[in-house]
Order: sequence, then structure tokens, then C-alpha cells
Amino acid sequence: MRDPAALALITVPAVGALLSLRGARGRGHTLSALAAGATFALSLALAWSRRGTLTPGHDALLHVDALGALFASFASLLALVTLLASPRAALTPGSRAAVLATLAAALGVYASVDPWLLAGFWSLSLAPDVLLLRARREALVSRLHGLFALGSVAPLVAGLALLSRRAAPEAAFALLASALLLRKAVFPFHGWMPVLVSRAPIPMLPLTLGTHLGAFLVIRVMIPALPPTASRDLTALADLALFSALYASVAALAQRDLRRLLGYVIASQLCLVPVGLAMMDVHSAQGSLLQMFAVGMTSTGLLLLTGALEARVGRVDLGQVGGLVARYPRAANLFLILALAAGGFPPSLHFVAEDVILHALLHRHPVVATVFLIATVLNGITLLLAYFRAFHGPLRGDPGGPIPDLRARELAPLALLAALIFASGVAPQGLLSDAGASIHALLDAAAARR
Amino acid sequence: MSDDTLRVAVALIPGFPLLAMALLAALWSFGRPSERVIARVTSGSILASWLTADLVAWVWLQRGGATVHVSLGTWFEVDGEGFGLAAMLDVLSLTMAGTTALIALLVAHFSERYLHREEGFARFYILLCTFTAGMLTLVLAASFDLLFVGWEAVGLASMMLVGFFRERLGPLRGAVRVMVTYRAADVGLLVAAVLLHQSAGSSDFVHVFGGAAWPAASTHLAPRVATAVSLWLLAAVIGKSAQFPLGGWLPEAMEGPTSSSALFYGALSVHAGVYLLLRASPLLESSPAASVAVGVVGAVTAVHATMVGRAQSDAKSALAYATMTQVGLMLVGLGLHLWTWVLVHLIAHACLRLLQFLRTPSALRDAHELHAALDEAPSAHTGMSPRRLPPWLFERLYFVSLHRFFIDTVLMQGFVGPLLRLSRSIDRVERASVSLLAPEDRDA
Repeated sequence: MRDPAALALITVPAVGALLSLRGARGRGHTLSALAAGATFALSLALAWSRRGTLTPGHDALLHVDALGALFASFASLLALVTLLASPRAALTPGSRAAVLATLAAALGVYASVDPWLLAGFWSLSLAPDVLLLRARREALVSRLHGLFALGSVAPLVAGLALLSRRAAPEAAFALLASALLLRKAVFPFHGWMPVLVSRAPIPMLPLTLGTHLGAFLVIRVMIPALPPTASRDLTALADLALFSALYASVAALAQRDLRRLLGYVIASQLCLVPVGLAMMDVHSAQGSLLQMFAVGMTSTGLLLLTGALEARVGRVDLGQVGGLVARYPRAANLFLILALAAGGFPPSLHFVAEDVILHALLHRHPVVATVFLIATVLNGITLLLAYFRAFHGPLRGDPGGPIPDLRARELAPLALLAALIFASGVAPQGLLSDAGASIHALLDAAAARR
Repeated sequence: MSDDTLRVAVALIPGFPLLAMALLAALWSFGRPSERVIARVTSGSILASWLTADLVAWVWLQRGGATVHVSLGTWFEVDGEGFGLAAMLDVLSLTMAGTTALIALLVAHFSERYLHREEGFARFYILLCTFTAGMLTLVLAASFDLLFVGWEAVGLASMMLVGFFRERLGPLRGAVRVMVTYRAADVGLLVAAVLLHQSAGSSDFVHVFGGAAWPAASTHLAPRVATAVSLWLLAAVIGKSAQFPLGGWLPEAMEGPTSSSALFYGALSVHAGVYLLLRASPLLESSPAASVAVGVVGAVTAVHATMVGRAQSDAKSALAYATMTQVGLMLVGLGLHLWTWVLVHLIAHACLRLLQFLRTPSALRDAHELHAALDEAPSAHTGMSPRRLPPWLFERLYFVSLHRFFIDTVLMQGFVGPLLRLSRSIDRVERASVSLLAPEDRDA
């Protein structure tokens, strides 16, 4: 059984990627933005028409259910914002094509019902970045990303092979879990994240970090194939992710390079996703879902804004720059809004997500909830410190000259993202309801298996 | 007044300044509204909020003055558990709401001339509306969860107004210190809410304290739980209300405009912690240990702040320490369970400090007028009196007071320093391990 809409959803950005590779500079920008816009419109239509639908159990390779359509809309939005607001110098034909190709592969993961197809799209989602980084000839980031790609694909394939032979389910589960840990930058598999965020081209980062393919590995493969005895392993996984969140939040405190700092903060916030998923109850799963959307939006906004600043003042070293609000007030205000949202300031979606996950953690132990709180508070402090150091105080590190503040092309998509993160926080029930049926069905099936 | 009308009226108390904030932010984003428009929108919204609070208080009195729980809906709900939006009407919340709106209105009016032609005029009023909406949410909230939302809004406005003069280094340092202290204090309030959820299943005041009128309410929580929750609340109060040993941010917060200093650190924000403990009075009543802790923190703060305040050379810093002293005395009152007295003390102190802070820009002029009236220089008697102490003791006390008892140094070396060192160590290890992949990359 095939789903033509799912095929169309994957094909549009894939064709867009090919066309934008061949398009001239101006035409390539337009083509890539149009492809991302068309994908966004299609995924929105699917999200609307398939509310409450579930993935069919048999005979399907590709199918977009309510959850998949929701994530498809979200990933397409991130791609569109990235293509519109990235610094023009960084938007080479290669990076434009990489954004769209990664989007196509991510949409493939969301739509895959068959685990092997999912693994195929998962591997494809890493290929554009591998090629892009190899072309830049930066040894460290290229090798580290290569290790990341290999380290997340190899255990996935090995785990699926074991599952398909119905042999050693515990080992299969451990292999799949290690792919997830690497993808979500959980300690000790997190080393790629700060290096990638600080050294890779800005346009490739939002989709690499914001598409949450690891969560779909859990939803589509790990939970349905969950061994009945694996609940203790899941608890250990949640504890490791929580420790990792705290570790990354402490590591972020002393960073001077704004991009590296963001890398640690994003790693810390991404770790809260497996914390929620591994708890296996509705509360935590819904909290994880909101956290994925929240982190995706704020990290995209903050990274693109950092890219815009870098295009104006060079590398943003917090020890070297300061007082930039005098030159770039729009960028300063947007950074503040996004930093507040990412720091869990109410009524942002981060606040709602953290509140829901916190309620789930309460069922375990107050100490676990307190560790979670400390990690989120430290992230908030780090982001606001970065804002104050970069934008307040006497003007430093600005090259001078007639460099304008954010242009409309940059401002509009980023302002939209900032508005969305607060609007979805004010009214999160729509998001919760749209994904609720899928999450309930998934957890009911897992409970029945156990 | 019907229940539905009352519900709308209660929602509008914080709603008016919130709407004004949104309107001003929209106007500011798309154009340059005049100072008159900005000030009128703000003052009008806060006036409307104050009148609505008075109306609601009158209706509450007409209904007999019992505690009224007004449910405004549910923000979001997961698996039957929701984040409730509800207000609690009683003598404590309505007194605080009326006082908050009135003081904010006075500050809005004062600032129209004080900040005339200031570059951040619109920004100040947007933050004033944010603060007013946050403080009104804080005092009207019927649960610790919703109270936290207001608590955060107050903290945000406070931090941004300390850093109001964005091009200077002093306000930057003050804002960072306020931000770090407030965020650290947030952990206390959040953990207290977590403990309440775990032990009582909810953080709603009605659920935890019963429906009796304040201050006669009581809690059904076990004394051990009440002590733990109270101590975490005290941790939040120590940060928010500038108590020992975290009060060092208060003098640095004076870098903001005088009118915001008056509103935040003289009148309202600094009393948010006192309000929190007044609201949690049933917990303190069932926990002698927590009551003692609250009283001791208050007493130590009062002694410490009054001594340090006497060694200050500028009017705003001296006022900041005087405020800390009085808030410390309020905590002593809370430890002794003098609830009504503390509420009266709070209101009186808020009004007095508001006046004093708003007069500080004219302090020199006042001194000149006094000089002219007396025909001689008025005696300076604010410092420590050496006549009542042995010289050696006076010198030592003056020395440690001048250095604020070295509290900031101890905090820096005992807490912040080790955390930053740990962070740097992690960074070094990470960089070294990653650089093994590409030894030729010097920037790794």
C-alpha cells in the first residue's frame, strides 16, 4: 500500500534540491525557497487533513499519519526559515541543496512505516552534510561528523538486522538506543555537537538539530519492538540523558564563542527529549513532543541570528564583542526574545514543555526533578548572560562602517519564529491534541506488549 | 455582580496592563509613537486595572469577605492533569492588588516627565506594563504554578530595567547579577511547587491550605513536608527580596532609572518574597523549624544591612540597605507569625520607600533648601556613632561594613568560582579529546 501524498511530500524538496544545485545565484535562492515553501504548504494541508489518523499496521511502506504530518510541517517550516534568513554568503548552491535534500530525507523518515526504509532515509539525511563538509576541507569537523554519521547508522543497521532475525532483542534494543544517544548528543556521545555547531556552515545546522529523527526511531521502531524486560533499560537511558542535560548546561557556562555556547545549550535541551520519551507515559511523551518543537524553533532562530551577526561583525567571541545593541537593535531584541523563550520564560512553548516533563518526573523522585530544574535554570542563565555580554555595555568588536541592522529578509522569518514559539506556548492544546491520538495508540500498544 | 462578570473583572486586573504592553510593543515595532501616547496608554491601562481591583474588592466585601476562588479556565491539559488559571480573592490578595496598581500608576505618571526625551522611553513603559501585569498575576494567583508565571514576569522586567542604560558597564553588571540571583532563586520556588505536587497532588492554595479565610487557613500537610516546602520558599525569598546572604544585588540594581528603582526595589518587587511567605503562612504555622529559619534570616539581614547601609556614601545605596533592613524585620515578623502586622508593615514601607526613592534625584536640592532654612548645614547623623562604641571596635565594624562583610567575595569564591572552574575544566577536556581527531587543527 502506498501513500501518494507521502511520495509527493518527499519528492518536492528532493527535486528542489536538484534544481537549486543547477540554478544561477539569484534564481537558485528563489527556486530553493519556492521548493521549501511548497513542501511547507503541502505538509500543512496534510497535517490538517490527517488529524487523528494513525499509521496502518500492515502492508505499508510509506504513510503520513497525524504525527508524521505535524513533524513534516515543522521541518518544512525550519527549512523555509533557514533558506530565507541564512546569510547570503553561506547560502551556496551546495548548502541550499543540502538543506532541501536533508529535508526530503527527514520527511522520508517521518513517512516510513517499514523500519528498513526508515533506516535508509535516516542514512540519506546525513549524506548531504557529509558531502558539504568534505567540500569545505575542514579536517576536524569533517572527521567528527563522519564519525557521527557512521556511529549513528552502523548500530541502527545492526540493531534492525538483529530485530529482523528475531534474535537477541536486548542487544538489538541496546544498538538502537546507542544510535539514538548519538543522534541526541547524549553524554558520552555528545562531542560532535559543540564542534559541529561552532564550525559547520549555518544553513546545515537547523535541520540537522531540529528534525528529531531519533525520536522517530523510538516511535516507529524501538517502542513497537520493545522487549518486555526493557523498562529498566529505559529508566537508565532517561537517567543518562538527564545527567547529560546537566553536564552540557554546566559546560556551556564558561564558553566565549557564541556558537559553541549555543551548541552546548542545544545539546542540553535536546537531552530532555529522550528523558521524556524513555519514561513511557502520556505526560512525558507529550512533554517530549513539545520540547522537540520548542528546541527546534529556538535553536533555529538563535543559530540564524548568530549567523546574521557573524556576517556583520565576524566571529562572535563574547570576550571581544559588546554593546552591539547600539548598532543592531533589531538583532538584539530578537536575540533576547529567543533567549527568553529558550530559557523557559512563560508563556513560551519551552515553559509548557518543561512543565509537562517536570510533572512526569515527579512520579519518580524529587531529586530527579531538581536535577532537571537545575539544568533548565543554568541554560536560561547562560543564554541571558550571552545576550547581555554581546549586546549591552560599551560598543566593542564592531568593524564600523555602514553595515545595516537585520534586513527585512532576515527579520521577517525570525520574527515569525519568535512569535510562533510564544503563540504555541499560549495555546499548546492544539499541538497536544493533534499528536495525542498517535501517542496514546503507541503507548497502549507498548503496554499491551509488556 | 454575577459570577461570570466577576470572572471577567478579575481577569482584566492583570489583563489591562498586559494588553497595554502588547499594544505598545506593536506600536513600537511599526513606528515611533509619541511620549504622550505611550504614557497615556500605560497610565490609562493601570488606572483601569486599579479601578477594577477596587470594584472587585467591593464586590468581595459585599459577599461577606470569605475566600473566593475564581476559576478562569485551563491553560493546557495533558491526560486529565491541567495548568489551572485561577485567582484567589481574600484580604491579602486584594490589598496587594490595589496597592500594586496604585503604586504602578504613580510611577507611570512620575516617569512621564522624569524620562522625557530619554532614548528608552517606550522600552521603559513596555517593561512597566510587563511588571504590573506580572505583579498583579503574582498576588492574585490561586496556585504556586500561576504565581511562578507572575514571579518570572516581575524578574524579567526588573532585570531589563536594571540594564536600562544599555551602553554603560555598571547597568550591565547590575543586570547580570540580578538575573543570576533571580534565576537561582527560581529553583527554590520551583522545587517547593514540585514538593507540593508530589505530596499534596496539587499546588492550588485551596487544595493545600483549605478554603478558610487568610490568615486563619491551615494546611493538612505533614510537618516534615511543610518544613521542606517552607525552606525552599525561603530560598526563593532570599534571592527575590535581597536577604542575607544573597542581598548584594540590591545596591547594584540601583543602576536603573530612579522611577524603576522606586517601583521595584523600594515599593513592590522586593516585597514579592514577603507576600509569598504571607501566602504560605499555614505552612510556617505548622513548621516551627521553618519559622525559626525565616526569623533568623530576617534578623541577620536586618543587622547586616543596617550596618552596611551606614557605611554607604550615596543616597540610593543607603536607601537600598535601609529597604533590606526593613524587609529583614518583616521576615522576623513572619517568623513570629505576626501576619497582619507584617502586611501593614509591608504596605506602609512600600509607600514610604516609594516617596523616598522618587525624591532622591532632588536630594541635593532638598539639602540646600534645608541649609537655607536652618541657616546652617544640617548635621550628618546617618553614619555609625563612634561615641557609643570603643574606637577599635568601631574601626573594625566600619571596615567590614564598608566591604559588605565580604559576603560577595565569599559567594564568588565559594560557589560561582568553583562552578566556572568546573565548566572550564570540562571545556578543556572536551577540546583535548576532540583534537585527537585532527592534531593539525590548531583551533580545535
